[in-house]
Amino acid sequence: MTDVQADLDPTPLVQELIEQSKSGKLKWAATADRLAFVVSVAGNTTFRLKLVEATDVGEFGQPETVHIPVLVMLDEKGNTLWEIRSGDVKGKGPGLSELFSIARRIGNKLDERMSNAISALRQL
Amino acid sequence: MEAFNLAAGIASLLGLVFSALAFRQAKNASAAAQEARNAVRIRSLASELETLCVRAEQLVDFLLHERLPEASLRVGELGSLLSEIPSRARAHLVTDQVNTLLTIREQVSIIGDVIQRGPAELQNLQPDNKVIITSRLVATMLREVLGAVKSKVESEGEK
Repeated sequence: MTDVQADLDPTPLVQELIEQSKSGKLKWAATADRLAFVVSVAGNTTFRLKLVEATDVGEFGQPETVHIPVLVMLDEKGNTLWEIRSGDVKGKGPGLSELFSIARRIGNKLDERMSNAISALRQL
Repeated sequence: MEAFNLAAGIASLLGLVFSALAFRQAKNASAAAQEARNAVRIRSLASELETLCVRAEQLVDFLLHERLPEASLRVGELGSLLSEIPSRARAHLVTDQVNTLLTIREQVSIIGDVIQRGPAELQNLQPDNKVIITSRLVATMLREVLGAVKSKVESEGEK
């Protein structure tokens, strides 16, 4: 039976997304928003990972604008099921920032572009 | 009396054989009807995907010509069709294709968000603009799904 009194911990989900992304099984796709990437799994769930602006307190106590990753889980109808912020992911392991870096690398086809650039540079 | 019993026995056996044959024929007819229904559904799915592809290509065109109200309209149409098709045609698509359609719907939704956010981001749209690149990607991905479905239609036709 589901224990609804305990907070739902997104850490295992984020870790699994990182693992599957690293192994190349999740094909993150770029979007019209440079700071957002999407992927769908199991034919019924879509993840949208985006960087959103937030205000933080700087080193000297001044307000500072920072970008933090937010993972949104959507159902097959496009309804938001769960919004996970960096602070929700517990533990010292990799978090949403690492997931965003991997998603950006896959979505922007950075590996492919890098090897193309290296080939082009070698032909100079 | 014995001759009557023998004739009745043979008649029963013949009846059983004919019933079995009739049952087999009915089963084959039912399978053929099911196959025909599936073929019609796959053809209709291919036609709907073709419409989606045309809409996606029109979206690219409208964006390239900075016709944002029309582009916005296409985004709405694509969003509606992409919400409907994956759940309705699930039986005729593999999970990867459903995933692709769901991903495309999200990409279209984000294109809509960018258009809504305002013209600043969309002024002097160049072919290398992220919105146009993504719209082209959407059109290409849809064509890929359509290609796979059309190939299924063709292989069904050859049967």
